[in-house]
Amino acid sequence: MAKLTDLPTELLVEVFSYLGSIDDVHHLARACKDLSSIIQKQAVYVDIMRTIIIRSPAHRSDIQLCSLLALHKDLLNCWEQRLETITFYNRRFVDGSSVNLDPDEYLSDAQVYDILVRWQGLKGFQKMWLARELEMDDYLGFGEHSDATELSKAYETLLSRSYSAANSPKRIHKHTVCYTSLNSDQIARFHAAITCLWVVNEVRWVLAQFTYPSDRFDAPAQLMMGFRKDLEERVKTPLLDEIDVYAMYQFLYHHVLPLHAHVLSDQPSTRLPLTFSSHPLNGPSQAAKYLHLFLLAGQTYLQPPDLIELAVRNHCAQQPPYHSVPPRSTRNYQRPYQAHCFPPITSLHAAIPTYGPHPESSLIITHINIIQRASPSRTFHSPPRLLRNNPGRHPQASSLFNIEDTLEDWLEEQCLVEFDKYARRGKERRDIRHAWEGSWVEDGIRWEVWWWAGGEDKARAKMERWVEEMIE
Amino acid sequence: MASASTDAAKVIKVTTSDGIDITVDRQVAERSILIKNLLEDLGGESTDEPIPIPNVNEAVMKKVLEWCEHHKADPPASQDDDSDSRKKSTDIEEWDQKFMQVDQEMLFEIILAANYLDIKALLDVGCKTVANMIKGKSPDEIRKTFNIQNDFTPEEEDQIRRENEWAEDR
Repeated sequence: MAKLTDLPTELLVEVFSYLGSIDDVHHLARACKDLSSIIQKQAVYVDIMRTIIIRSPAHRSDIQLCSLLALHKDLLNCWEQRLETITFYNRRFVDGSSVNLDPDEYLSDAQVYDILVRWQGLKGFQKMWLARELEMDDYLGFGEHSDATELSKAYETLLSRSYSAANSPKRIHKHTVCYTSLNSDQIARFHAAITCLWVVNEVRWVLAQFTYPSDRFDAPAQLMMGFRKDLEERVKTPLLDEIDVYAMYQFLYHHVLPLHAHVLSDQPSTRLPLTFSSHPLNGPSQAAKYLHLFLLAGQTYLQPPDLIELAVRNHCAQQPPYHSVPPRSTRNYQRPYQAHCFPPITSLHAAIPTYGPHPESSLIITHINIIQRASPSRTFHSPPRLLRNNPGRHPQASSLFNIEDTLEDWLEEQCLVEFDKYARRGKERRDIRHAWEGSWVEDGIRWEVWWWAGGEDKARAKMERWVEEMIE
Repeated sequence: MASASTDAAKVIKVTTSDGIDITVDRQVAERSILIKNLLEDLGGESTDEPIPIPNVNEAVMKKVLEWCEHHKADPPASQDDDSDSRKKSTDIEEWDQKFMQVDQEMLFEIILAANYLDIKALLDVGCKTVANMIKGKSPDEIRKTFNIQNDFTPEEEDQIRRENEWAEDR
């Protein structure tokens, strides 16, 4: 009687290569010793994984990410060796060719291993996601706040909700009680969403390192447009992808980042903008300005693995023996180019007028503008909106700098545009935007995204229902 | 609906492992590279001698020939090695999916036969079908599906899990 294990090795290798995910390979190998021995050979193992990675939609951004991270390292070397950065940009950036990788191109063994590590490492976020159902107050979107006291309060609320979570139910709605794990399709979407966001953010990081003046002003815009084109070509389920990435963005940068930001707080002022005072309520409105800036800088300079590091350190700091060590090793990796440094003696509580001829005020505006220039939404036709320091304006202690969350706006817009392309038209149709804001933000639907958006069609049908419910 | 019966050269015979002779269109049988090469070695002349296929029994052979019959008009398999197999999708066309709805024993027999007879496309469909049965399953579910005995000690299983998956629990 023929069994699976009766197949000769070369046919079993073939079966392995047709599996859907990295996890499938490991699970099959765990079934018995015969199957395990197939992937013991390094070369066979790497080859199977390479085939699966190239084929699986879960890894569609992974390959591009490999080349971007190589570029990231190149840039660090550049600064370490104090090479002329402008020359570097001209050589590597202008045509963008160095970073656009043909997906069918050969993937090196090292890259395969990188992707394997990423697959396992980023699973930490799945655990975080499943730990607790999140509601509106668990997200801190800095773009919506213009008042310092409000921002401080929102931050405090987010932290206290997390502290009290240990004693409260982990699921709020009846139907979410069974949402305790992700199946293989959801895991694939989860990974694709993180890596896709990481790619966008890595491009943003590169652009934020771009030093002006350069002899090629259009280089950043060129690079960004090249990437957007490349991203668009990879899309298979456009609406679902956009929704996943948007939900992931809010989870990582509006929840995980502020929740664990504490680890980076209260450092010397030279670490600004990547630090802030941990007692924003004590020095009411002033300290909130640095928190505000931190949230913007954090989403630009900190990538998903950095957030995992923050989470782990924060976790350690809260358990005996209460080790609290701010990250060191990754600091240069995050911000190698230390231009526009804050003076060492700046107090994190100092009163900073929002506008006016004040040195810290100007520095903050410079940092905001560097980041806004690196916005993913930029094209030739829509230059970044920059802040101007206007001494004529009345400095108000309680108002924050006018920072837009351009990445969030862009990602949200992508979801709505993708929906609108094929939306049903009717006489009394209302704009999806109203329905979207109600359902997405207030009903906590973003946390449940892996379950209700079971596929492109389901996601679309659900959004159609939101619009209909709005009319009634 | 060709008038094949008038042309003897278009029909050949194979003998299965259990001694049964099966008559089949030559064009159909030539989906098998093994049979095709054999016939070519015989000089392309029609022969009344049945070709012995000692590794495949009647039931499996009939099933394989059913597949060959349906796919007889497909373009011949290219001689390229499988370097481009990565680009091939894991999708299976509908007819093939239905065709593969057989019990497991038959499924593996078909795969072994396709391997022996050198029918690459059928082999691919077979391997994809098996892979689809594995997708998304836990090791335990895989063992149950294929009736595999777990021959690891708990320590050994833990060891390979840690090596491959960095697992702490589950």
